[in-house]
Amino acid sequence: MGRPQIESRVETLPYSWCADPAVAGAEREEIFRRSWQYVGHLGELDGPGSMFPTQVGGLPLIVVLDRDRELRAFLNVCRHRGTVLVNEPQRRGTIQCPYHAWTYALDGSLRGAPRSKDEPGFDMDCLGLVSAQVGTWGPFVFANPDLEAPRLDMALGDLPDVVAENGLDVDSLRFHDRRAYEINANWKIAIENYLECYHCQLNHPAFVKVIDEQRQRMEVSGLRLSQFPPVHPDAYTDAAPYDVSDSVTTAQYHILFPR
Amino acid sequence: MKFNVNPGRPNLSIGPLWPVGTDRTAAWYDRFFPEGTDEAWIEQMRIFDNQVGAEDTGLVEAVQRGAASGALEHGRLLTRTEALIGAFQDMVRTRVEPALDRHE
Repeated sequence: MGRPQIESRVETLPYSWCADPAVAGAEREEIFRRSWQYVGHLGELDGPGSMFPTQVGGLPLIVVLDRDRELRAFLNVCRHRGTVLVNEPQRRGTIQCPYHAWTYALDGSLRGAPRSKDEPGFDMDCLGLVSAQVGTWGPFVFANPDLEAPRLDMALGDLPDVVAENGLDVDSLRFHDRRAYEINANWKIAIENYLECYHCQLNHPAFVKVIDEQRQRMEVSGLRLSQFPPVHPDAYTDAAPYDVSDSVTTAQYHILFPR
Repeated sequence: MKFNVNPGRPNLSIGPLWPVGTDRTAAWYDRFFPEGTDEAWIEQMRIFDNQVGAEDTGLVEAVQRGAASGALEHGRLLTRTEALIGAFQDMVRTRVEPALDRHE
């Protein structure tokens, strides 16, 4: 018996959901700002005191390796007047605000605020950086501003096993390069385009020389939405856009819905 | 989050994508390879990947112009070929509808 086919409902979401600010606000709060997101990699941290700025769903964060080599994440916003604290990767013993020099220890506690000794009722203990959850899978670093959210392994689900089962050892990987971009479209339209290859024959002439989209497997597991297209047989003999003759014979394209 | 493994030598790209407006999306990704992977091969794959990405950007932006125009209320999915879109939209509904109901 073959694998049961996944079927969806017939109608799309209302198109108004691609233009309605109320929907966008709900998505921002319910999907993006309370979820685990990839924020960088361990190669960006060069010993105790190293840190890099990042973001989750538009919220600025800092990832820090503290003095005990414990990985920490904080909102990258000063408790004084809201300045972004860290603008580029750095290594130092404290986190100091560039605006008025409020200084935080690497565990996030406030250690110094100029002239605060003369300020009645100034409680240093209540003004530490706001913590976020942080975790790793192989070289990949993830963070979640929601301290009540389930741990990273719950959010990743079976993805690490699926990647490994398909022959990729993530611990063997080293960072190569980063690319940032923006698209003039609603985020859901961008994801939906990624989740089907129905458009590939007509629109991606090079891509369909590399992968055999008509033989691809689709899978939904928890919040993971995956496509596994095998290498197109002709790609080994014809002039494929690049050399595919190596160990990865099935591509993997996964969306992990934020959790 | 997107996770891509392209055919050929071991590789993986990973990165987030998030809305910066109803009609604008920001994204970035990091690419990883085992140490010592041939740079010429990486460059060939990067050109391939960027070409597919540029083709997709044009398609996605055209959907935005049509879908957000108000011309139609919704579209019609192919329930098998586009099954992952249906599953994705169910995930969105599950999170968003309760929040919209609370604000009504």
